[in-house]
Amino acid sequence: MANKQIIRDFIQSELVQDGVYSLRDDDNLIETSTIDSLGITKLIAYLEKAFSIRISDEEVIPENFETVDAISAFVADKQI
Amino acid sequence: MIDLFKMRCIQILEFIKSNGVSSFRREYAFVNRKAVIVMKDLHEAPDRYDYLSRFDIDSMEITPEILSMNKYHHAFKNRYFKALHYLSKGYEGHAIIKENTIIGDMWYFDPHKLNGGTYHRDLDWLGIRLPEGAVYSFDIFVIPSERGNNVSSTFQNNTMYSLRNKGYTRAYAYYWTDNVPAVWNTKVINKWKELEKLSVSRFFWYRRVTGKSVIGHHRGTESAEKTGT
Repeated sequence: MANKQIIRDFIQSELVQDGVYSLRDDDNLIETSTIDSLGITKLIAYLEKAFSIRISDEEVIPENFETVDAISAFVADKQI
Repeated sequence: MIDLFKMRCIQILEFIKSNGVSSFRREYAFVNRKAVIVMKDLHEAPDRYDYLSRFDIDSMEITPEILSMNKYHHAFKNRYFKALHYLSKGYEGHAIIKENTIIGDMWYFDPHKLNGGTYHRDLDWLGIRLPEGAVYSFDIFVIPSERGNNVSSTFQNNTMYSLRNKGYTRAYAYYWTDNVPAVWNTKVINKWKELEKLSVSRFFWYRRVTGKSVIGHHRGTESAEKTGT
């Protein structure tokens, strides 16, 4: 899925600390602290702009952001 | 005697310097901004201090004695005045320190330990009645250059750990839903329970709640216990 590649690339380049590891789609981004409070702000701003969606505070839950797979599915649902 | 006017002026100047004039307007004058009241069961708080030492950050309780020592200085002047102001009202706080600089602080209020202090007015407009053993946690601040790496969420957790050790069982707080870092840290990382969503209008120091709704599965028991309005 094209969305997944775009999202993975963004997280890898902008959020992975030092860019030291290669991100997998099922890596837990919360447990590994890949997404912190600054990272989620950047990520939401990016997703809203890149995919022309609006993300509400109710949607900021672990299930929607814990992996690249989850983010990709969440974005796909929002685009329907 | 703390010069409240001076504190407010410095607070406003430092806020504008850090965030810009438009953010200042957004913060102090708004209509129907959404706030969420949250609660943390302190039995679920971490059972140890976490890894802030990894970033050479220590934490400590803020006391008048600490502030009167010349050992520490505040990175932001308005936080020093705020600390004096809060202590004078009987509020209690924790700070995080890096190389003798206070880089963050957060505060809490126990109405059952008032001892001549001042009742926190947030509890009135939020409609929270704190049961015995509960505290109201407010005004967590970390200087911008030290944010990230989950420093704020770990600081919040460490303070909850300290409160539990003092015998508290619950902490209440609120965040603005447009404050994404606060939503992330409080709801997602530290797993505070959302209780109620409020619509709030504000014009500087005047606030008015224009609507409220109970959130999710907390409808009923939590609300009845918690709210006073």
